[in-house]
Amino acid sequence: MSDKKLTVLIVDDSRTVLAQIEKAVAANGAVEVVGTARNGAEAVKQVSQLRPDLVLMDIVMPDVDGLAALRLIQSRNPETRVAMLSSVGAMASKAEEAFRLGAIQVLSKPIDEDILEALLAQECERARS
Amino acid sequence: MGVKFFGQYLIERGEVDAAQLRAALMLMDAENRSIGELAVEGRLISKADADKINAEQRHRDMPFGELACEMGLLSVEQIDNLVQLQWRTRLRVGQALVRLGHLANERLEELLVDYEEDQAPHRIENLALPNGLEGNAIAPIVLDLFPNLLMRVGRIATRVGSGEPVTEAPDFPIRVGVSVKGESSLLICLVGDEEFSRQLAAKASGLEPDALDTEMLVDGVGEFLNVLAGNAMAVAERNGIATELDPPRSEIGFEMGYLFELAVNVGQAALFLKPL
Repeated sequence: MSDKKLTVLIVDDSRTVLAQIEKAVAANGAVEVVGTARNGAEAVKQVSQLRPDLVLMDIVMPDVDGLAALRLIQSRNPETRVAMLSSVGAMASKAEEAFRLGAIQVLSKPIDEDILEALLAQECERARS
Repeated sequence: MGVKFFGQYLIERGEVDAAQLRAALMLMDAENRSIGELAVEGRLISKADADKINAEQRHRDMPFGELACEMGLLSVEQIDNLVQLQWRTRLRVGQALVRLGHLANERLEELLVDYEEDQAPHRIENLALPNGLEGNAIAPIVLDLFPNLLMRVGRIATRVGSGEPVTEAPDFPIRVGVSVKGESSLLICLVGDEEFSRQLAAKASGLEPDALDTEMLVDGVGEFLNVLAGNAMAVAERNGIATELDPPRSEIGFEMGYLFELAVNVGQAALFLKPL
């Protein structure tokens, strides 16, 4: 079994959410936050530079939103696994579009930390195998 | 626990994975027909008319039926019938998963019952609204979801008072609003004192209350409003009302809106709703 940590990039325009997710992610010793971004354009750039194993990304953001960024990330770095965390994640139209574009999961806010933890455990397991 | 759509619920329960859900969505895309396609199939309009309406939609952000009506190509009654036909014949995500062999039919029936139970707290009760908000589809959903979400996100208990018209900005230091725009539009604004805003932002971020600067208080209240609006939009979408969400902002016009006093157990606050 490898000791390599699962690397995560968090993307959200809210400082509150970045802090909340960073805290939840840090509780899992097998996961490392390698970067944060405040909009979709920054996220696309950081994915190319940092090559994280997992991106946790909001949908509603100024400039380039999460769905547009997801499309770009999947076309440029198709190996990147992206989960959306969004206040509009419960809307079938948004969630279905995210899955069509290649998202591995869509979590709605307020974030259920048990579900986030299960997602991280699943991605750690996948990275090890 | 929160509002969610059925496919998301199935993934969270581990019943299907993202690839299986994606295949089901593609099958639905291939089989489900748009209002325009149904109108052409039913010989209510010609293919050329449908193309004309689709071309107009590129310039104007309006639903097909509304444009067809405005252009005199379909009546309101015909559009209602088409919407009902689309609703009755639509392949749904559960059925698509069964068709593809990713879910057994008996299991789907059990899961639909469980899903209804899971989502029962998010069904909307009938609420009395001020005259100016009657007919707004988003306002009653926001008022219904508000107490539960405020408790869940901010650990703040509240009772919502009746809405009164206001013309001036309420005297609170923190004022943040989000706009829901679409078939029904509403400005949702939360105003509060520092104690209320600090508790809400601290609980939402998981940070210590004293570690939060003013920008973070505004950000935390704004994020709560995002969650409130997003959940309300998900419920509205199930009722066939399509909307979009603008990011939070602090510049708000308080004329022609309604202020709902909040009886909260931390500080002081009020909810402001204004039809757009």
